[in-house]
Amino acid sequence: MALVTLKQGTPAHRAYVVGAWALAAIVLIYVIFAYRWGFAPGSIDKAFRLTQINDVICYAVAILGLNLVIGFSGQLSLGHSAFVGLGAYTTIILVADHHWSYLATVPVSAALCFVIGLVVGLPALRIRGLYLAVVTLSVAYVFPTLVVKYDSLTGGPNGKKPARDTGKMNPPSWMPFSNAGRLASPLWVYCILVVIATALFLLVRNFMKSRPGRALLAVRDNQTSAAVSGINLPLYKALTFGASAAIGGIAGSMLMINRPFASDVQFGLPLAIFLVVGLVAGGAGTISGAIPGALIYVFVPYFMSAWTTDQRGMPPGIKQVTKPLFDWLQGRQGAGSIAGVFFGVGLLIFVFVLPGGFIDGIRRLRSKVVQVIPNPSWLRELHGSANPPSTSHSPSSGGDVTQAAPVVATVRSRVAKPVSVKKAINLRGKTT
Amino acid sequence: MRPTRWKKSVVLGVGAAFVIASCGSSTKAGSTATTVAAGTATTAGAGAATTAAAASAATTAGTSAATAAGTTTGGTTAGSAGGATEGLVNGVYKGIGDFNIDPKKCPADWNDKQGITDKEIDLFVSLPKSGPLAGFGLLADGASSYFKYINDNGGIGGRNIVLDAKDDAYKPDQTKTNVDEALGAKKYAAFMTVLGTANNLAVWDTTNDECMPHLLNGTGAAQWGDVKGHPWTTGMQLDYFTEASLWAKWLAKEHPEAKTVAELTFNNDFGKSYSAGFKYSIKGTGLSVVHQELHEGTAPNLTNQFTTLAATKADVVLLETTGAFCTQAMSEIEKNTTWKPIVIMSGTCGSVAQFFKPLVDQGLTGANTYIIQNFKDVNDPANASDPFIQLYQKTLTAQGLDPKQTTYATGWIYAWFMTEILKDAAGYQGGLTRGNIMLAARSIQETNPLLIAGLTSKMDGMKDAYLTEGGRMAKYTVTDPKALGRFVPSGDLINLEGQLGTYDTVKAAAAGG
Repeated sequence: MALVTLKQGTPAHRAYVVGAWALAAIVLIYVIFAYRWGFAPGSIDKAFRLTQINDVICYAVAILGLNLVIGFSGQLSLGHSAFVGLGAYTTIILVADHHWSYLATVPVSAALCFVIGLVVGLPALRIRGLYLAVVTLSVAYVFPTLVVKYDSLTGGPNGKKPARDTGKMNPPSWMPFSNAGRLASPLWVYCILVVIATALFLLVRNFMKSRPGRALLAVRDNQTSAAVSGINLPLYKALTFGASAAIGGIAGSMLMINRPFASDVQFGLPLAIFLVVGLVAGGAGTISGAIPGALIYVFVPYFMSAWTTDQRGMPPGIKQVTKPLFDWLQGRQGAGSIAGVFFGVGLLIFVFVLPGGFIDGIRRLRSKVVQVIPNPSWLRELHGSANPPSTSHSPSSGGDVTQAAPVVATVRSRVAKPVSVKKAINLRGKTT
Repeated sequence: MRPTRWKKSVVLGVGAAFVIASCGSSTKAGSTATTVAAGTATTAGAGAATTAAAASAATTAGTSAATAAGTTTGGTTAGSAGGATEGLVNGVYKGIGDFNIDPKKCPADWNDKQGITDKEIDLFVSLPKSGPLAGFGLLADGASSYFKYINDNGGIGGRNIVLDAKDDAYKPDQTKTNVDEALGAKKYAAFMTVLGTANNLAVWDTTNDECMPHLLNGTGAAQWGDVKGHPWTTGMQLDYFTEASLWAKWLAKEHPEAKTVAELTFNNDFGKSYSAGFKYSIKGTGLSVVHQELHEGTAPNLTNQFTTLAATKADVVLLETTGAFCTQAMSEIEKNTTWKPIVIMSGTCGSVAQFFKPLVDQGLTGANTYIIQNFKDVNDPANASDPFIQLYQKTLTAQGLDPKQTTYATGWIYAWFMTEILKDAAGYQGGLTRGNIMLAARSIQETNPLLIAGLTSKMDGMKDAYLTEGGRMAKYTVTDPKALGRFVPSGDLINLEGQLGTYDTVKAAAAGG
């Protein structure tokens, strides 16, 4: 049983929700001022670490896009690295060869990737599951080859970057950190990326609460029942692929804003696989899961690799246990590869301990402390119609809480119902 | 309703933020008319550039007697003795060959003594320690092995050389990440031997903007001679352009009867660099290129290319390619019964075990293929009496490393140059500083003891930006067709020291050809 029980819609619950969002906002904003205030956990006042944090934001957006296809519409797509790469190359080519500003290229990347995503999504109309995975995997496989093939455009294996002395994002003078020296540019990039990422996260969040969002979930849970319910399956599947690719493309553009250099190996199969790994580790089908997923993708291999050469930065405790192993590894051929092995073992353990991903684990942990009793607005309105209007929209009076028990029962039955209805449709769909 | 207002404000806020962001960002994207070249040029496919690093050291089958450089004292340069004229004079670093550094052009927080204390000199390298080319990671261990030997014998004026190596899995974006981190750490005096052409191209703008000595790159691209555009970056290996020039000189001297040449060229910067170098050097000779076949890195085989090449009946065929394509090309030539040209192959394919062994498995040999070599093979019994190779073997054995692993020897070559640079810099006015390290790197006069006797390794400021520009042709000779053969020297040493000058020559040749 949870320590605290909050009913949805009450001031306490609202304070809880607002407080959580405020905390997240404070954390995001604090990063900008960490270098001034002297307290910088994880050395976030260093330019390099900021660049890594910016990477996390970019990959979080990429995973968010992938989540739309895998987590929400239930189609296994392994080709997302190609869309991230396409977005990245769109940006870098427009910036380096045609002197566009970075932000102007973002919509172009999104539009281009949307169209290509639609095309790649076409097979998804006919095939499912592992077969679709193989088809999309081929996209991820082909993309680096295309980059090398069209080297006059992409720079081929040497990569592409803007001309020297250009391509660095400098903050406008009115920003508080415009005179922060080496930190100015990464902080400015951080601000831009946070704004883009926040917009995309809110967009996806609201989309999933909308009618098409629910349709998507219905497609994931049972295609037949979704079709019977009047959902246009081909349209939704194709559009999901398109939208997901567009978000992936934006993520690619964001990566280039952060670190203006693109190479074929950067957007190869490892990225395709690791985006899925990040998605699963963060939590498939959860919007916030993209953030821990990206943190894992960026930081776990980084620290693993760093510790194989230098164990000074290791957390004490682990250090003493693993020291003989790392000492033994040092100077051996392929010692760097061991970081990948540790990463793999870590993931295995992770999947066993937190099968629903990081966010699921957090939610289970949270449910031990705070339990929110659902009381959605439609129910409040329904309930309020029998009550004086003053309490209907803002059920803030204490009396409302005492009346909670029967309401909760109603809510639970309402919440549980769609599942049983779906099952019913499912059965019918199978027999007919 | 509450949510609507909240949504509106968020949408407005985000919209406003976008407008502000797009107005405020000053990317200076318009002013790119005069850009430094080569940033987007292409080079060899994965492995091409790096194989040269190991191949040149791995397979050289020199038979010559050793140079006298048994220990690492090296020759003293004109300026390394006391009272040197080079160094920090009136706020400017003055080197030889008109090479000067104005520290005022460096970032405001540039520190001349960064990474240099009374006890230590910190160096950094990014190279593959995982992935398909993880074997090259041993190069850093080899370099560290030599530094350990130097440190055990007094170091650089009592300072120990410490080399930190970071894994980039040969991925240029990872190299960039590593280099950005190393620059941000503000603890390294210089970078050395970053491996791979694409990897170095990804970072050299940054290292030059940061005034970070970025020395002895582990790739043979000609770009590292761009002393004007990138004064802080130097190479070490024989570059592909010069290698092809050596082919031309050798052909003119040893095979005056050969007139027509056909080229098989990897369709990238790497292959074209060879082609440009060869065409540049045959001007005025009786040689002429009658046909050039390009191939892509994705080509499944070279059968079509060789059908066309064989039809030319050219006297000479140049294999300006690398990796498995070398083996395929040798196989195609050997299987052809009517066309028997002189075969000259890229030095990146010099590893007998890697590129000739598959031929033996097919019942072929690859015999009579020529390549250029310039470093001694530490495993060749003919070199067993070489005092430096003896030192190498003794030291590695004492350190618990396997001296037969030739990548360690390559590491020793790079570390030897780095040590000489540091020693020279310590003798300049102002002592051991990063500015002086850069001056010393552009004024190397000492000859590496692992170079084939008679070759030199010299830099001369703005005039000569290439370190090794000579080599000797070697012929792959097979006595037993079922076993592997070995490279036997063919013809005299050819040393083009100082003739290439800077990358400008290469650019002009490439534009003209």
